[in-house]
Formats: sequence, structure tokens, C-alpha cells
Amino acid sequence: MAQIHMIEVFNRKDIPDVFGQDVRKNIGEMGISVVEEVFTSEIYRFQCSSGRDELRRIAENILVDAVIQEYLLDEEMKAGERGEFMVEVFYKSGVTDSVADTVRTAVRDAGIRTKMEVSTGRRYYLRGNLTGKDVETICRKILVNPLIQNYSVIEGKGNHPDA
Amino acid sequence: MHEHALKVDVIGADDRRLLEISEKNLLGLNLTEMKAIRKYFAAMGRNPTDCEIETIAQTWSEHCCHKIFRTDIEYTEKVDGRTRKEEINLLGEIKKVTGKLESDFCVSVFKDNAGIVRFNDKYGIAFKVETHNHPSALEPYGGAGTGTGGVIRDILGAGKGARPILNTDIFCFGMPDAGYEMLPEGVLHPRRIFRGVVSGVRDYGNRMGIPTANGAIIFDEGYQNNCLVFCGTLGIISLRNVDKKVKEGDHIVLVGGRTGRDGIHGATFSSIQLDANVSTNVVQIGNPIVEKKMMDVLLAAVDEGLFNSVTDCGAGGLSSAVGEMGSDIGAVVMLEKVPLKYRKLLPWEIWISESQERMVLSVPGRNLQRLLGLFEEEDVDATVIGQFGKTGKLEIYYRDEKVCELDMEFLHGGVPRRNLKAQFHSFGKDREKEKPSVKISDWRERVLKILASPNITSREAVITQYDHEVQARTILKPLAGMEHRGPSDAVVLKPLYDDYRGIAVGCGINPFYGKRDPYLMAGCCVEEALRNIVSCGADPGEVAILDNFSWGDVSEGENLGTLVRCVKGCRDFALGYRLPFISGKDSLNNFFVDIKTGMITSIPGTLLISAVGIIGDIRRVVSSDLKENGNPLYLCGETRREMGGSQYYAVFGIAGGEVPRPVPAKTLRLMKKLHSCMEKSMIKACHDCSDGGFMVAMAEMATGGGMGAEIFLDMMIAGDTSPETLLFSESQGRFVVEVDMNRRDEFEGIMGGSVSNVGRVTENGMLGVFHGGDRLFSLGIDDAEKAWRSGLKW
Repeated sequence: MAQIHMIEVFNRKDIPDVFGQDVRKNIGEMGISVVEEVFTSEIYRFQCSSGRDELRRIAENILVDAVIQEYLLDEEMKAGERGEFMVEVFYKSGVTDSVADTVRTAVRDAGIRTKMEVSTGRRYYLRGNLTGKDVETICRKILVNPLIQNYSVIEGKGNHPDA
Repeated sequence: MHEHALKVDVIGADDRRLLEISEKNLLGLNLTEMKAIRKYFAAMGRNPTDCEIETIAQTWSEHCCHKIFRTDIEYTEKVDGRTRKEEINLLGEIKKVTGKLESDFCVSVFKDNAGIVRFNDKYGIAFKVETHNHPSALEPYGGAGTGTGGVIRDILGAGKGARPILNTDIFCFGMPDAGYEMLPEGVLHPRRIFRGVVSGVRDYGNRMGIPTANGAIIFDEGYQNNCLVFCGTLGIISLRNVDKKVKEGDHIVLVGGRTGRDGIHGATFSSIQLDANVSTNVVQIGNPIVEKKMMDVLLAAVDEGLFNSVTDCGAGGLSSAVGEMGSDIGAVVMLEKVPLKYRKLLPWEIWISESQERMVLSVPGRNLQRLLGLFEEEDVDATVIGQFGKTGKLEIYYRDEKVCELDMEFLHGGVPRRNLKAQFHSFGKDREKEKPSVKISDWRERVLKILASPNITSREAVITQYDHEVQARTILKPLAGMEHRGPSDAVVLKPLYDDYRGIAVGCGINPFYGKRDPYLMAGCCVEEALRNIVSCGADPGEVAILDNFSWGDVSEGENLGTLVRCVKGCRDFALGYRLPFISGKDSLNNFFVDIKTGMITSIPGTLLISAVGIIGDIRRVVSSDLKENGNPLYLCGETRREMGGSQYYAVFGIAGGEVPRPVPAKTLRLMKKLHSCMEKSMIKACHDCSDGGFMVAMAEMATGGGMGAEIFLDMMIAGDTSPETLLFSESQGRFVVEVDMNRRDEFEGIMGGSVSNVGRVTENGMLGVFHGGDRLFSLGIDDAEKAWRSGLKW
């Protein structure tokens, strides 16, 4: 039976998150200086009947660069571990998701026959003395283009809607 | 019985209802056009289907058929006290230039997806520049990326297929340090647009394996609500493949990506203004990997001569592509055969979708299997969706239901001619007396400030993100000097691996002049594009140009008038410099309506001229960085006090002044002589004077070469000898040239009175500038370099 699974891919602790640093710099230029760190990750959602082993295969052979990255499968980061706020950004339905298409092709090429729907998104963990309003501003002005993306904001406690 | 196509009742509609239909469905058609449609279908005795209405709307959209450029305009002009009236056709004026010049450098002009010029007796060069303004304002990354993807496909669809070898990118943004409070609702911050656009162009071009190596970036408040994104591509094509003709019975084969709802109404939408309420659909998302795969197979199919004709699926999607290709003989299409991204698309949606990475081929039966097999081998979709036919009609079916039947003649020729009127009065500001200059004590600081200013500073942060080496054809790179620190004027490519013949590509753009005088802006842009490539060694006698107009709201007579005036400038100066136009595009209605205040802001009228020229032997190419201690420096051309619209005036907030006026006959003679000196290898470095004038050019050459110079301003051939003029005036037709010290007599002999020796190259790390016998100031080249390289942060 098809279920929704999530794989979250991110840099290992000792590897600098260059993209996150860039986002932090942009936030600072916009006038919000209280952000101490931005940590980012890639989210892959699968709607399929795959078992845990198959999903691990997909993660390890296709999605994750084992040298510098690690991943979580159907698990959330510990609450507040990477920041007080977590923003998840994903495409609106109907918007072309090229990376998801490529993942499906790669899964097929890896010999996995299970039918699956794939969608991708990004997470930004923001650490700093931020208010909810600050985070909304950051989302609207830097992280999200409301024309093609939706987003959700979770505060530190980390109970994600899909969990 | 019409499950898939809805009828649209136009026969029974009154004028008000007709307009309603157009607005509700985002058709962008005016009342006259809707009435023409009503008349056509009333004569047919039936109402149109939604598919038919959409097809007509796409084909008749400003974006696809350039109504304003093709209509005769009643134009009244009042310049220098004289008033004249004339009827003028803008596209006609541009084409007249090419017609008059009768250059056999031009192989195919104004009829295909790109203009084509002769490279040698076997090959031609195809060149096209497109705009993608509206989509980039909404979604900078996707909009700019698909702009690049689209123009690449124009080259793939030039003749029977050209191989893309170069991308160019020219952008106009609002000020990167604009305050967030200033932005109306629905407008993204200029910095965000800037970064998104550059990233989009970078990611698409780099992944396609095409070098992006020439361009420009302009920053001005006027672009805050409407950015401009010009993307160009150059390709090489066998001269045997220039002509193409769709033959009756050819299969219509759709190749490349799948079709979805992306960009529906992109063509009609781009003809309507931007405001805060825009739907998701109009944004196109690109996939360069798909396009790269498609390009590789397509070029292999070209080599095998498998198809009769090709065009790209751009604005208007299949409706435009198949509509154009079948315009002479007609076409029958089966929409259910089109591979889709997802199910449940209505027939009209499939037909006008602007999903990216698709092209349409016209394939004769005998080659079909081979062609389909080739595409399958490379895992690129190729599907037969119909046949080009002999009825002269466009017939579209979905399963067995006919959802569209239109006469090609009505579709392509039925758009009602508009009645347009335009007026132009020279702007009063020209007559204003220049404010007297403030007494300047610290020239050194002034030079540093202008070097770091947004429109002068190095674009290194952007340039270095683009791959400019891929395909191994790049001879003169975008950054000059051993350490790639100074600016090159143009890019030089060596298209063939076994031939030293080269091409130089450059551009000219200056909306600051245009705000004051659109006619002179045209002249300066035409000359700048030519100057840039001549500086590197191109032969001024073998150059062709492209025009791109991006204008604001042209519904008013006066705004349209500035456009007409600019086109006249293009015509006059292109003739003056003997430059044929081979292709052009216009993007009109770049204006924004603030939903809160109702205020309309238009961009400054912006002209981009792109130039491509031949370099006989790339071993004679000249770069801009200073080379050798002791070599004499010459300034070619005359300097006048022409500070109107200059960067110096912009940076120091000085109003008024004369906009530079190019002098074609004189300058062309000078360029030809300079070129012959270059061919004789006596020129060691060359850089043209443009934004910021002589001093900025000098500082850039010093930065590139890591060398200093001693400069005697009084030696310049100049009408006005004030230091301000000599340092910063933007008079046209000037080049700073470093000559081999052993050949200075030879150089002076050829150039005659058009040049003067203004100084020499030194290696003391200083730019020493003298005026009136005294040292005016000294500037360390390290300081100059630091200032110039510091102004644009990523």
C-alpha cells in the first residue's frame, strides 16, 4: 500500500553549509541581523509502497553524497537541534519539479520497479533570537516565491505535520 | 458532441461581451480584433471553439506578431524647431537599412528564427537576442533560465539547425541597495531579482555546455518594478542548411520535453501589464538537461539531413510553431498524441502550452523511422503528432473530435491593422544650461568614486560564474590581462578548430542617454556595439547588428513617439556606419501598475544593439590590458564636452549637459585605419572610451595589465580643455591605444591627424595625470583596481 515517506539530506556537521551561509548573508543584508546560523537540507517525499530497505537504497545510492552528506529517513531532527525555527518550502501543485523527475528516472535506472510519486522541497533551520514576525518576513522576502511555492513554519518543538 | 472543446459565443456577442471574453480568458485582444474574429465566424456560420479562439489570440498577440512594429504609424515630430509629419513603419525602417546596404555578408535576415551572416564559404553564423522581461520579474531564476533556453532553441531552429556556440546576457535592474519600503506590493527586491536572474542564466547555459561570455548589466531606479533580461545565442551553421521548406505530406514531429500547463498565456500575458495579481501558470520552469539531450540528437539529425524544416516551440507553444511552419500549406494535428506531463489537460491547453525544451520538425516519410530511432537511442521523446497538408487550413483533432479549423490565411494575415498615432518633441531639458561645475580639489577621489559606481564597476562577480571556456572556442575572454582583472570589450571566438578565422561579439546599451534623447541614444548604442568589436580586431566592413527594443507603455502617442524617434536613430546611424540589421525583437508594455495607488511606472526606453563581426586571423586579436613599459599611448578621436547622461554626472548628481553625438563618417574612417594597424600587429592594447570617459578606460587598461601610465590631458584632440571634460566626457568615436614603441612612426603615418600621443605606459604602479603642465593627480593602480573591483557584491 502506498504511503508517504520522507528523506531529508543535509551536510555532515564538519562540512560547511555554504548555501546556508549565503542565505544568512542575504537575511543580514535585508536588515535582520539576529540570525546566527542558517542550516539547510533537501527534502524528498515519496508516495510509494516501498519498504524501508528499498528506501535506504534510494537514499544511499541516489540522493546522498556519502562523503559529505548524511540523511534521515522518516525521522525528524530533534526539536530545536538546528535552530529555533524551521521553514519548509515546496512547489505548488502543477509547477514543474525537474529534480523530482530526475529522481524518478534515476530510481528506474537503478532497477527499482516500484511505482512512485516524488516531490522535492527545501528546509531552512534558523537559529537566532528571532520572532515569528521576523521569520515571516524572511520567508516572504528571501526564501519563498509565493507565485510558485508554498511554505510552512515550525517553531523549535519540531512536530512536523507529516510525522 | 463536443466533449473536449467548448464553443465560445462570439457571433451573438455585443461589443461589451466581446471585450469581456477577451479579458476573462487573458486573450489580450482588443475590440477591433474581437470584431474581426466575430465577422470571420459569422461568415462561417458557426461559433469558434475555445481552441480556435486561443490559437488566434496567441498568433495575434503583440509578442508573437509585433503589431506595433508592423503597423504604419502617423508620426509627428518636432525637433530643433522644425515640425514634420510622416507615415512610418518601424520594422520597415530597420529592414530598409539592410536593403540599402546590400551586403553579401548577410545570408538570411528577418525571416527565420535568427539572422544568419556569412562566416566563410562553408559556414554561416546565426545570431538571435530575445527578451524575457515579464517572466523574470515574477520568478527571476525560472524566467531568466527559460529565456536562455528559449533563445538557444531559436538557434537550434535557425535554418535546418545551427549549433549553439555562445550565449550573451544583458540585464537591467533596479538599484541593489534600494530600501524595501520603496517596493510596491508584488515587486521583488532588485538584489533578489539580480541574483535570481544571474543564477538562472548561469545554470541553464553552463549545463547546456554553452559558454556565456558577453553582456552588460545596467542599474537604474527605472527598472525597479520591471527588470529587463536580454538573452542572446550565437550558432554556427552549414550554409547548405540555411534554407528550409516544409513539404506537403511531411510528418509533424514534436521532440524534447513533455507538455504541461507551464506558461499558458505567456505570449498574451507578456503583452499585458504586470501587476500584483498574476497566476502561477504564466511562470515557466526550465530543465537544461532535457534541452541538452535534445540538442545533441537534433544536431546529429541535422548532420544526417533527416528533416526538411524545424522551428522551436516558444511563445504560443505548438500553436505558433505548427501555425508558422504550416502557414503556406496547412496542417492536421492530433493533440491526443502529444506526450503530457500529467493527465487532464484540455485540448486548448495542450495546444498553447509553453512548456519548455520542445521543438517541432517537418520530417519526410522516408526518414521518419531513422529519425525516431535516433531520438529513442538518446532517450529523448519524439512523437508524430500530425501531418503538414495541402488544404491551407489548420485542422486540429482531439481523438476523433475536430476542435479547431482555421484558414491559415486568416490566422496569419487576418489581424486587423491598427491605427496608431505618435508624437515626439525634443525634450526641453537639452536646452538647459549645464550647472557650473563645483570647484574640484581632489580628482583622485573623484576617479575612485566613479570606478566603484554601480554602472562602471567590474562585473567580475557575475562573469566568473559563467563558464566561458566550454567548447574551447574562446580566444578573448570576458576579463583581460594575465590575471583576468580588467574588462575586455568583446568576446572573440574561433568557431572552427582548423581555421584561424574568428568572430567578435559585442553590445551597446545606454538608457541614460535615452532619457534625454532617444535618437542619439540609438546612435551611441549602434556605435558602442561596433566600437567594442573593432577594439578587439574586428573588421568594421564585416559586421552585422541586431536590435532589441524594450519600452514602457506605448499606448499613449508620446511614449510611442520616443520609440519611433529611437528607431529613426537606428536607421540613420546604422546606415552611417554601414551596418546591416539581421534580426530584431521588441518587448513593449514594460510597465507596472501599483494596485494600491493606481500609479503607472514605465521603464526608461531601452535599446540594445548586439554586433557580430569577422576577425580575419585570431592571432591578430588585441586585448585591452596594458602590455609594455615605454610604449606610447594614443587617443584616437576627438573629445568634446558631452557630459549629458554621463556616468560622471550621474555619480556626482549634476544635471543637464549635451548627450554625446556620434559622427559616423569620420569615425568609420578612423576605425578602418585602426583596423589596418591592428592587422599589421603594431597595436599592443586597445580599449574604447565609453561609460566614464577616457579616465575610466585608462584605469581599466591599467588594472588589466598591472601597469601604470603617464598621461598628458592637454595632448588630447579636444574642443573643451577643462579637466572634467578631458577625463570624463563620453564623446563617441574614441579609442585608447598602446602602440609598439618601435612602430610609432608607422602608426602615426597611417592614422594621421585623427590621433594624438597622450602619454606612455610605465611600470611604476602609478597613473600620473598631467594638465596644463602640472600634475593634476596621481593614482596608484592598486587603488584604482581595488575601487573598480569592489563595487558589485554578489
